[in-house]
Amino acid sequence: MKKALVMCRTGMGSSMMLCIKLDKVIKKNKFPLEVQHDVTSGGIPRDVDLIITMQDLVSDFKDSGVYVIGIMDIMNTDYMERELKKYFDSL
Amino acid sequence: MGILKFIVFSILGQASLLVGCMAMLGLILQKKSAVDVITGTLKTITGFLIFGIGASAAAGALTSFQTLFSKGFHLTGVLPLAEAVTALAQTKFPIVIALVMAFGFIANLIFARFTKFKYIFLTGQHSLFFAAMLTVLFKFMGISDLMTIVMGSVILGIAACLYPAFCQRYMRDITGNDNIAMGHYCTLAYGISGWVGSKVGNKEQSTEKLNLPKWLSFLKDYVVSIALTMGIFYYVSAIAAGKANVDAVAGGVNWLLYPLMQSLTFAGGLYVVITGVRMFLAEIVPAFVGISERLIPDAKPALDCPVVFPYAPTATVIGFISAYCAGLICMFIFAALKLPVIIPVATPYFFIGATAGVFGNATGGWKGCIAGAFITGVLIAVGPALMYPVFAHVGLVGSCFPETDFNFIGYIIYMIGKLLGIA
Repeated sequence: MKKALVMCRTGMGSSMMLCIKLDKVIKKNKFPLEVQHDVTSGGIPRDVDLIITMQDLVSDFKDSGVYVIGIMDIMNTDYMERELKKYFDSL
Repeated sequence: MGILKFIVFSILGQASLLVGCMAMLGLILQKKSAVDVITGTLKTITGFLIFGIGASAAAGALTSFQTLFSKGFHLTGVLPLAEAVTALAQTKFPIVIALVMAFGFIANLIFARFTKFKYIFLTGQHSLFFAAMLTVLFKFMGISDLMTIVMGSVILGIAACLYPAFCQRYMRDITGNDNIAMGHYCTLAYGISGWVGSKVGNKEQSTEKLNLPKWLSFLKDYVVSIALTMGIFYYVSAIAAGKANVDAVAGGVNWLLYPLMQSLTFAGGLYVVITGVRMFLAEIVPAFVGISERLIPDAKPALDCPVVFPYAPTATVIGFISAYCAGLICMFIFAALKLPVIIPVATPYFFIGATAGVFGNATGGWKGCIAGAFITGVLIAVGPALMYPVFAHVGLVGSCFPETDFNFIGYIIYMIGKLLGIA
């Protein structure tokens, strides 16, 4: 089971919607992925395997050492599915 | 009979348990497992209590800031932070606010189902803020809890459908499709920004063709942007108020250290507030999404403002700077006019100014971005300056809502109240 952290600047806006969309994709594909959302100020816990965030925040996490997925269009679940498949294929 | 009274007054009489029940209902309706229902409900209740803890922490720092600001400048300093004023309102009317929010969701579903304005407002914290504002206003005018809940939820439901529609044409320009709407209650400013952009600029000259220095990215951090701007204004107030006044409130802390500790406490308190809000919305919003998708499948979700940021990230920074300059200018004008001084805290000016910048850029390039965001910066300063006296009357001291959509409706309600002699 891998752990994903979805982040946004307040932890209650876009990250929450992203989680809702991601949960559907995860359920449909039965990805072994647990998703949580938090505010960027909160930092990255040690056991996080994957960071997912809106595209404009990706640069904040480029140097974190964790695999990052950036989302342009919050409604595009096909893109999310493709990116998650890419992540699991890379493992 | 006794059991019914117990349920209504004791259990639902605790606002945290009330929202817990809402979450539980939502989880059961989504046919979640018993484990998920229990953990979800417990987390929701705890989240609401955490929200209250943050409110207390932030309130203290807010009050001492106001005291020093008024001693230093003989003016009222007001921080335009929706989460702060909502946290304060929640200590006075927790149950009514929670019920206005809940029935407001239902009203949204009803209006979306039966009108052509098929928008579902999914930015939970904004629904909460709006519910708080309406509750405070109606209670100020002496209206009963029941009527507050009824009128509040109807207004919330209508606003949830109509406000996103106001700037939807520009959302289409920004995203290139019609799939999402703006669910952030500054749609009046965003619509104006988009319109201004179309008049003053050229959308081919996009902000995205410009390069900005990297250090500006500190603004993306919630804690840092609040701590820094609060810190600066706190020090300015403390120095203006003088050592004696600071010592009087500092309780033994060195007067030059006190502003630092207080502004960080304030940032910390607000961090706790948003942590709590995130936790208690975490079960309620997904439930609402699930229910609305099933009942009104052709509805458009109105989402939090950062969903447009990826389309024009440079515009967000330029928009913030433009709006913030407007905020600073307004601050000095208010001070000169002896009005409540709206202190431009970076956080709302970032989110709102950035979004206005994206809207202005979509229709008018960098000129539209700067112009639209500047006008927005003025609107989010003038709105709270007008509404603050009303909130201060109810005992909500030190903070007010910057969001244009709240203040527009709030002002209309206040004017009606005055006409009826109840305000």
